[in-house]
Amino acid sequence: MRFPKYKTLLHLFLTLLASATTVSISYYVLARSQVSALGLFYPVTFLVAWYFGFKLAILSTLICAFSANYFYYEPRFSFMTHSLENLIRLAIFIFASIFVAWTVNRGKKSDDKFKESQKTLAASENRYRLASRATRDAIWDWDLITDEVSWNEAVTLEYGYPSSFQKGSMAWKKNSIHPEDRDRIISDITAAIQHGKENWTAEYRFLKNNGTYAYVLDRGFIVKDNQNKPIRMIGAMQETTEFIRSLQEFTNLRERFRRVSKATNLGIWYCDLPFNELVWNAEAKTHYFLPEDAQINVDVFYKHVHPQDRERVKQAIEHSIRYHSTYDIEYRTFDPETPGREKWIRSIGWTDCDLTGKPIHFDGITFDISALKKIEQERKEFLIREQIAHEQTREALRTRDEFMSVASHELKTPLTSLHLQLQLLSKSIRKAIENPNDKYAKLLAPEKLSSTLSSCEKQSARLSDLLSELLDLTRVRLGRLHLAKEQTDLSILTQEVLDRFREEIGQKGSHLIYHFSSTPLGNWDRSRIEQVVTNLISNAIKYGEQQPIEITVEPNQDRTSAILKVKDFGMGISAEMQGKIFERFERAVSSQKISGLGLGLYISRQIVEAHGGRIHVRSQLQQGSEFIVELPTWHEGNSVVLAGNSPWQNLGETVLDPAQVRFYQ
Amino acid sequence: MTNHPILIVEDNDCIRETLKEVLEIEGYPVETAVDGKEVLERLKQLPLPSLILLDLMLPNISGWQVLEEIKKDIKDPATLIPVVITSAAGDAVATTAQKADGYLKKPIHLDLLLQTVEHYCGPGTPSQDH
Repeated sequence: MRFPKYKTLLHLFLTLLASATTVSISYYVLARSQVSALGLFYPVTFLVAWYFGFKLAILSTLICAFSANYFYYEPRFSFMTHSLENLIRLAIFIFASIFVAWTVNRGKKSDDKFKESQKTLAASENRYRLASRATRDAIWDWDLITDEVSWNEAVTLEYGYPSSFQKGSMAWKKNSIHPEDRDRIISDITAAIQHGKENWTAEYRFLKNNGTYAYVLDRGFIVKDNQNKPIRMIGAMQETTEFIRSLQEFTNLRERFRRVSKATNLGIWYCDLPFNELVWNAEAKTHYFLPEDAQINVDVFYKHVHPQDRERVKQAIEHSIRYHSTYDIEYRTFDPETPGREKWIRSIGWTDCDLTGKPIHFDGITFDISALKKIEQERKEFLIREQIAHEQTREALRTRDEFMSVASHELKTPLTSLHLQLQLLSKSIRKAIENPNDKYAKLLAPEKLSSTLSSCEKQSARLSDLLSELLDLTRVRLGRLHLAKEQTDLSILTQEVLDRFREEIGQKGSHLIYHFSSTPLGNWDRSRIEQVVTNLISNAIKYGEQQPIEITVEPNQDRTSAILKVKDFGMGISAEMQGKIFERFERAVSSQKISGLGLGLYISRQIVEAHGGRIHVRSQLQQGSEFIVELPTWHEGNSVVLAGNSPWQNLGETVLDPAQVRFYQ
Repeated sequence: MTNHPILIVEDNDCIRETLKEVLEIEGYPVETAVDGKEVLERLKQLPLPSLILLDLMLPNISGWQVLEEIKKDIKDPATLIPVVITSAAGDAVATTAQKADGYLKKPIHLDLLLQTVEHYCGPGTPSQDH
């Protein structure tokens, strides 16, 4: 059982109170006037029905009817009735009262309904107004029959027209369309209506009251009557100026960005995670030797990374994505189609994450650093070359200093000897003058004196030799080795030189073995070639350790050159030194053992090469050395060699009259 | 004193012979050596030289090494033998000269040589010559 609501109880109480009051009043009135007072009950029924409803009005009616019966009609204070007339009266009252209550109640209900619908409408209108204000859409309602257009307040708020414009004609709307758009829009909307469409959409420019045009997106709905005839069109006009401007700005920005990346050759790439398709701009593709229209995925990417760098790149990417750190790496890309084509690329990238920290994008840039790498490489090579050159210079300076030290020692030795002997002679003469019997006087005996002077001569000759050696060095270095060429026979020349050494060789306990074959004549500087031969033979004596010396003169196979071989069986030259002995200031053994400037072989080589020939050595340690000189001889074919294969060739007499040539038999 | 010869160490024949000649005329007993090896061999025998005239640029064992050897062992009586360097080398000598007792620069001045020898060996005995 439901407990009645408080309000219902109150209504019940008030109904009873009103009924009781009316009964009391009517009783009082009836008591005095004897007039039927049932008419007084109607207002109660009316009021109760109006305010408390039909059911309570019936209750009130019944209370009144029974009270009247109880109080007014005979027998009084009893519900019994003896008069049919009174009974009829009561019945009429009850019916009439119920009818009144029913009527009042109905009227009340329809009034409530009306009020309710009024309220709903107001709320709805309000909502619509607010909504249209929120969207700032200008809503228009075009009556196709009257051609009238009504607007919402947005036409005032957004487009600046006075509120009087909210009622207008379609002609005005059409005139407000930008002239360039007008014809298109009008024919479009007309066509939509004629073809029975429901919806219509267009974008155009619409005039504002301030004289500027706004970009609008206009969407309309065509309403039709029962006969499917269009009678009304309702639409919403949305301003898109800002959107269009943003779009324009965006397009401009994109274009600017494209130009920048093109001008700077900046590759741009981005991709969603996990890796699927990668988006690269044209520059990035060229960095990977890919055409502009290439489709990129992660496999294509790795395929174009140099195999040696692939693993490193992979790890860097994974590290960046896992730890959200910046990805910055240099690696090589290559063209799998054309081996050997490579680029150095620097790639910088960033990982973007969603709100939960899950990586969603991996974006970045690439640039071509090949040129930079090349410069770096060249710089490294340059530094190494510099280092080597520096070392060589130091070495050259060291060698020169050493040479200077040796040279000065070599010069001072004969000088000391000469000086000492001259002092001794001078002292002896002084002493002999003082006292002819002085012990020093015996040094002035003719025999002794002769030997001393001969020794002095030898020392001065030695000094002279050393000086001319130094002079030759200077000439060679300055490229001033003059060649006075003449017909020369290598066999005869060698024999002459050997004659000069015969005595010395005999003294050393060595002896000569020689094989001489006839050789063609050469066009050489006789004294210079003599110098070479002398140098080689004196070396053989010096280093030959008293072993025999073998001399060979022979032509080469096709008789285009003459060959001299000087072979000793002495200490030999190590393989390392063999390459150096023809250099300046080099000597195969330490300077303390053998005297001399160590320039002989260097000068010999310069002389031989100046003649277009060559000199080389064959040697083994402890088994001796063989020096081989090959000099081009004169014949029909080798005039080129004679004409000048060497910078000094042209300085001497190079032209040889063939008539004067006689071949040695 | 006369039993102790002056040892001339010089690889150049001409210089060596000239020095020997002069000192013999002055009445000193003279022995010669052409390289360092020979010097060290000689020092193993008696009598020890009264003075060594030592060239530095020597074959086999250099004068520097010879000097080092002589002055090495202070218990060795050879340490006491005065050594006079005869050399044309410049600066290198200055350091070695600290160990040596004297220094004669090449080309050698004859009177200076004789003074130096007299300083270490006393005057020569002219009778030796005869």
